[in-house]
Amino acid sequence: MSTNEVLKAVKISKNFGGIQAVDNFSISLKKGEITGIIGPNGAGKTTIFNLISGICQIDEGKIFLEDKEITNMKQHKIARAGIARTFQNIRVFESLNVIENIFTALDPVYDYNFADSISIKKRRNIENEKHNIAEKLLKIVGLWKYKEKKPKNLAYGLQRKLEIARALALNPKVLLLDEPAAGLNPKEVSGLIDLIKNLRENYSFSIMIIEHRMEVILNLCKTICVQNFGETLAIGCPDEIVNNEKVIEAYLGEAE
Amino acid sequence: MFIAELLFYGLSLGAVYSLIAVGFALIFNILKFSNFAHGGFITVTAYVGYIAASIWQLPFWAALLVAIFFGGIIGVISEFIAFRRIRNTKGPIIYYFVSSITLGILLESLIRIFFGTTYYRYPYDFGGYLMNVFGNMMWISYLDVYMLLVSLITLAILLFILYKTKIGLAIRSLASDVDTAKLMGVDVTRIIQIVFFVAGVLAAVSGVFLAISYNLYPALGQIVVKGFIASVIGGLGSLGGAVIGALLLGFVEIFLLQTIGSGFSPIVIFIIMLVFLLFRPRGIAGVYVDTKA
Amino acid sequence: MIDFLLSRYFVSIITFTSVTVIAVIGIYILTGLTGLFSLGHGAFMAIGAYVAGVLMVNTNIPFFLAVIIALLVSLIAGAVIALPCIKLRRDYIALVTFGFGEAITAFLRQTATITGGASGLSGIPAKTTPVLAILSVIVIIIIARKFKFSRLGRQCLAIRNDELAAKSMGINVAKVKFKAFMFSSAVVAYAGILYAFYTRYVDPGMFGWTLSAEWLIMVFVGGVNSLTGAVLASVFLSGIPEALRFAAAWRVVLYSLLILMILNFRPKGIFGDKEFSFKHFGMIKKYFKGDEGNVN
Repeated sequence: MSTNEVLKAVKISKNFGGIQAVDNFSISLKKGEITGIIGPNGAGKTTIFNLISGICQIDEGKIFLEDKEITNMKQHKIARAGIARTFQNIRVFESLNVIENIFTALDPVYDYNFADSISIKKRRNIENEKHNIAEKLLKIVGLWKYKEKKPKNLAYGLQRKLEIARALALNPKVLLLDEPAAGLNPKEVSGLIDLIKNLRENYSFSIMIIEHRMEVILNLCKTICVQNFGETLAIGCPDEIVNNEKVIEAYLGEAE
Repeated sequence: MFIAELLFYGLSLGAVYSLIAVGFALIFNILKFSNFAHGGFITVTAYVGYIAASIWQLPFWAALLVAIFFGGIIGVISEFIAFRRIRNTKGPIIYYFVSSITLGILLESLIRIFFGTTYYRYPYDFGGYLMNVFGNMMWISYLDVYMLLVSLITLAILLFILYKTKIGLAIRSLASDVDTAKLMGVDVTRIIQIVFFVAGVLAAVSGVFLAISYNLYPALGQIVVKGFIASVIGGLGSLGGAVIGALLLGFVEIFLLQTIGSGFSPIVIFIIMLVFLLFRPRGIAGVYVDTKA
Repeated sequence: MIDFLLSRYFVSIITFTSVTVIAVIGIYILTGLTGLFSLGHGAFMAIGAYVAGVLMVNTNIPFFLAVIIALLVSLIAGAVIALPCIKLRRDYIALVTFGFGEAITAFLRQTATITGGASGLSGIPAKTTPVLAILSVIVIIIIARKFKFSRLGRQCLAIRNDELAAKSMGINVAKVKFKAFMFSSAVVAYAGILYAFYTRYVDPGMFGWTLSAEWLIMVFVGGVNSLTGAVLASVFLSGIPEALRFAAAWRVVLYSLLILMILNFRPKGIFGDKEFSFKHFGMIKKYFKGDEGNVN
């Protein structure tokens, strides 16, 4: 694996009761780059995310994170190894307030065992550190002033940002965003684009985005991958993709 | 001799269990939760049948029909008071669960208050006769024959309704996908009411037979757990599986009763169920439902 | 007045209510915090009661040792049952725990030589004083509250809200569920010990699934998310009728109707998400002080 490569998927496949949801998918994600996945509904995009993040078992193929093979590792271990994601339907924790949501992602990373917890000073230090990180992340997404609020009291766009901040709390090497712009109004979408640009500038992790909103994809992605019926139609830079015949054909009537 | 008797009794017990399991599985298929109130349906209809039998002095078939009628009504009323609002407000599955348990407790307690904990007996005597099977004498009781026959007929009618009528089609479409069914013009509320009516009917048939076999007491409905176990073994989500699971359970239980007695059977059944759940949660025929990301 | 406070009647209300509150807190940890459903936790109450009871009836070991042994046994049993439960979906957990409850009850009935079988275990020495009961309640409330606001408590809530998302955030769901299960079984077992050493008699029929269901109902009435709600609901629903003991049969009917109404009209329970906190005292003080200090 080259030193720039963060995630490598090699011919991963997933079959659901006869339907080939993902067929021989391969991709290489580089540090600090943003890759987009587009394709009609049902093309298997979210399934790819599920395979990478460990929600679904991979039937064939392998996945490597930096140099370690993570194929079919347990979900929570993959998360701790550095793959964080958001979901198509927002999945924030309703019973916890904003800052506690961030803490849930920090707790496993800043874990201390029983021995450590006896020392009050050590415990306080770790808790302070968590608090500082949570503060930083919430400020990045602009949610710091809502830190004690429950998610259901926030606007939809802000809940999305919370989900992203929570994913960031895992200190990921790869960030998977599943349709982050869904349900957002134009102003919120441009705020989202700015946020992601901000992340690319200040962090070195790799970002992969599934989106239908072309302005998000075209504005951010260095590489775009087009999926259709589980197969990869094309991978390339935006110019190539936009002019690719097969892509245009698949998207007829789907254009945003 | 021994084996043939075991088989026969296991079969007729299993047949009654299968009615319970199917009543249970029907609601599970449509509303995706385990209706613990089914036990309450069984108990209440069993008592109604008893009233018809001993106080109104109706003959067996009439009493059964009365119980069936009441069963259906109770099913429909229950849907309204316990589950309708949750469905309309799209509450989480937990609520259905708690609601059904509560309803079950409510029904059992009401019976307890009005009838006390005395054991009642249905005033019917079915008698039996000795039969010659493979050169050995086997005691066949008419009751078991009726249980088997009526259960089979009931299941056959149910199958007919489900697969050969429009209503059955609507029910099956609801089981697949509620929203699509709605879009196709299915009157979801009406169909759900019908499903609960049917569940009540099934509960009544099983309730009356169980009460006749085992005597009538308020906790009779707790047998619904056997129905649940049968559904699980057969595969939650599959009606056919529920029947198979119930038959198996009937055989196993009769066998256990003969060999280790009624004291230890709950323990053994529990272990069997545990084994099933751990190694084949799909059940024998069933489909496993998982969360989508 | 003192006479009433010292009367056996009042003492029994206090004790039975305390026992129920403690058990309900145990269920709250399992169901309210972590979202797991058990219809067999009565079995843990039985384990606590019987293990400690049998030890005290047959041996000379000191009370607190019997308590510790009973709690250990319940922790082990909890661990054994938790193992399959954490892997199964909700309905199945209810079934497995139910089966466990029935199995334990059947087991207790069969082992007449040690446990007295169906006729129960009698002659348990009286060790539960009202002071012990109330102190226990207070201590357990404090522990539960600390648990809820701790990392583990947060993880439990996350799991209850969205297990998939919790896993995706690195939470080891199986381990957390396991710990919550064990914790709740120990708490419920302790309630069983307090009970047995007050009534001085237990029999297998007392710990069936309806008991578990009643506790579950109290948690729901109080508000699934709220520890305060669970405590208050259990006090109200058990303490008051205990004082009206003649209404025993109707009490259950009343519960059930109450639950059905709540589920229909206020499904989040009476307290919903809210917890009592000391800042409520401040609010009450301000209210009574009038408008001074308020800026409009």
